[in-house]
Amino acid sequence: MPSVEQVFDTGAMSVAEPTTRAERLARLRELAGDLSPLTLARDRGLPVLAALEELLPTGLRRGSTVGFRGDGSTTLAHAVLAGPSRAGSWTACVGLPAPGWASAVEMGVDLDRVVVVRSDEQQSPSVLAALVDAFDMVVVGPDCRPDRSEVRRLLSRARERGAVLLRLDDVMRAGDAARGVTAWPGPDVELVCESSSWSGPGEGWGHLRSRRVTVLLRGRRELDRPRRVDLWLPGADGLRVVPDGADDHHTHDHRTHGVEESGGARILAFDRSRRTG
Amino acid sequence: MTEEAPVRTLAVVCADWPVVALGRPPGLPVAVLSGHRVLSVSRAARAEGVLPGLRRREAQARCPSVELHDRDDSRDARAFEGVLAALEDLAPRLEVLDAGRCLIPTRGPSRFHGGDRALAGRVLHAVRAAVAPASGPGPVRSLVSSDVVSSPLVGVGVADGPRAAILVAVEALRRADAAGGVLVVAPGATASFLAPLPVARMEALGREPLGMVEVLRRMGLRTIGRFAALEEADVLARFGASGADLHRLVNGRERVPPDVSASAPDLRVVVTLDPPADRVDRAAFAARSLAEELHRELADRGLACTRVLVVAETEVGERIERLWRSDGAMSAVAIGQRVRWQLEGWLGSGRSRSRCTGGVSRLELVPDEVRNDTGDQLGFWGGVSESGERALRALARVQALVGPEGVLVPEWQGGRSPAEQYRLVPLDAVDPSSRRRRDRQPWPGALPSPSPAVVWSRPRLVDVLDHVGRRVGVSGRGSISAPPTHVVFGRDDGGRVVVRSWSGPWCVDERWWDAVGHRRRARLQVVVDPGGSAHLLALEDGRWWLEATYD
Repeated sequence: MPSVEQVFDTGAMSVAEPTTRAERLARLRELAGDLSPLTLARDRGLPVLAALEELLPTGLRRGSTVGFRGDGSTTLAHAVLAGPSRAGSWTACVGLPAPGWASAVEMGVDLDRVVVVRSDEQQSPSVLAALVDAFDMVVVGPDCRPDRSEVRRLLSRARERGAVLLRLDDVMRAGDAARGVTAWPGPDVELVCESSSWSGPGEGWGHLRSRRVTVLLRGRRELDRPRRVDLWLPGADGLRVVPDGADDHHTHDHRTHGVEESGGARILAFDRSRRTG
Repeated sequence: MTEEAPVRTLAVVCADWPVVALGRPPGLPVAVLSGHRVLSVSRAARAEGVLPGLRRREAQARCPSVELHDRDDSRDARAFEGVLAALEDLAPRLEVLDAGRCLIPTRGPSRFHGGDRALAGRVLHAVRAAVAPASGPGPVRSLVSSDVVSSPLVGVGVADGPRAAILVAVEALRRADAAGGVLVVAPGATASFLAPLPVARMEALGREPLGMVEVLRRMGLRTIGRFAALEEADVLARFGASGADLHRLVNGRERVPPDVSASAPDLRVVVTLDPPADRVDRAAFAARSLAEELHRELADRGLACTRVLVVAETEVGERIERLWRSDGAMSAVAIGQRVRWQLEGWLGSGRSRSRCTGGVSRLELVPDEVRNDTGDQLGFWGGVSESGERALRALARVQALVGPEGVLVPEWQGGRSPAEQYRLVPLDAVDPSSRRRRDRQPWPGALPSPSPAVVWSRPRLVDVLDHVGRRVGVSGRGSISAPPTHVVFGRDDGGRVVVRSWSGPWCVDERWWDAVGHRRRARLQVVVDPGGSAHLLALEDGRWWLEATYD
């Protein structure tokens, strides 16, 4: 409340009289923030897992579109879904050709709140519209191909209702040529798995254990600068951020323009629901 | 408060109804599974040691030839509709508890048929006759139809009060050889009849007594009579209202409904279908929203429904109605499900023949018996949240667009291959508040974690080659012919990639005793260049398949 009183207290105002236009605007924003009674639920982002906080510090903004690309994008999408899903959000999946539920559960998705809808081409716009109205997250897979005007309507509807659209591409990258003519505009946030390397198997021994992925995030809005984060997706004990000091050729070249804000060996872990041992 | 005499009731209980509903020949060992636990077994399977509650693997180990089927509530309800139709000829007013159990208030029918015993005999005969044709099509039927011993077990009991009648019917089922499947307890003798039975029998009455039975046993009260001898006030203090209800029941003073504190309001919800619905899914969709409306109306009055009357009228003027009773308060989903089963029985789908000659033009739901809604305590984190309700409402809209089979939820069922571990089931077929979870038991032979993020619903044909370009094979002893060096994904060499590292082969030999279900596979995990992506490949019948991708 002190800031409210400050508005009427001209003396206090004059002390911090802003001079430049930018300063005035900043002051105005600050005041507006203080004056608004509370943060509406829909203004807050959907929470993400602790390990993804470095990548998405403000969570998933409601009404935005998230695109995934590269090897590991499906697992990354599962990890992104897991945070809101654990917090109670519902997820609808449309047009996913080959969902791996076990992997989603291992990443932390609560399948109790996941629904799959199968629809044909004609019905998919109205189905998507109905889902966007009620679900926090709608996963649109490669088998669902709305045309340009349908996509426009869908995006504005998602913005209005505060749903997050997650777009997944064909895993076998068969649609590389088709992607040029896709009806979707660029997503608000794009998560690109730039490099992925598995460890575990040898020449007939071992098994897949962990994968290290460098994720590039680029966005259209407040994120003016792309950022890179190295993740264990998954590691030996779940999803983790690769510590900054890890001696690996992967981090070396990215650190120059990437994860400078991750100071020291910060390990963000979460209790992944999987069997160990 | 005046003490009302309990309603004299006849109960019909069919043993192992989910198996009977399958309509398999009675001599076969058959089991119905819920998840990977055995829910219900046929007599032949029971003789082999397959019992409800076993795991799928245990059941297969005890009886390799056992036929396993997945549970299907609507199949059970459809099959039971035939029994109900036969019983309607004997008594006009039936109350269905669930598939396999129904109640008949005996007052009128007994007078008509000449006493409780005569009525019970006729009911038993009618049920047996109705069930027998379902035991198998064609020649099998003629072999067994008259053979009472191999026909499914049916118990008929008459007692004071519906829940007491169920206990008596279950007892009749157990003593089928001596009592011939019928037990009639004289008016006023219910308490003395129940007294020598073990308390565990009360488990037949639903969820609430389940916890009580264990407590009673630990208290050393092993028979129902010992429980009945307790002071009513003590029972009320220890077990609450539902315990006191049970105590009244075993003393022969059953009260119907269990807590009479509300009288049914003059309420009914009606929907007119234009054009008339001739398909089950259309009618069921209307029924679902109707059930939600009813539930809302009742909730506004602070009531919950324990018995609902479903009335359907067809375009040619037929009118059929059915009463459904539930142990506890029915949720909107539960009401909707019952209406759906009912409609499936009436409109006919699958094997059952249709009883309606036209489409359903009008549906009506009447809350026949209500009680004050004391509310169900939601779990600390659980319960249906606001967003969940919103989601379920939206799904109802989507179901209207794509049909009920188009809205699916993943359900854990267990298995070795990634494709088997989860299956998609229609949303209507599961109760969203009690979905099956992945159990924590290890699954021998399953792939180690992490699981593949992409599991192809149809495996793709690939090829795995060694350094000289020959297809890699796996011997019967599980050794690989040569280290794999290349994987060919496409038809031509365009999809040819280099194997960077690999592990396996892991051989799986499933259902080796079964000529049809037998599968032998060898699996490889490969990491390929370029890109470094990892895949799960399986060799079966000399060909390699791409089963899943670790994307």
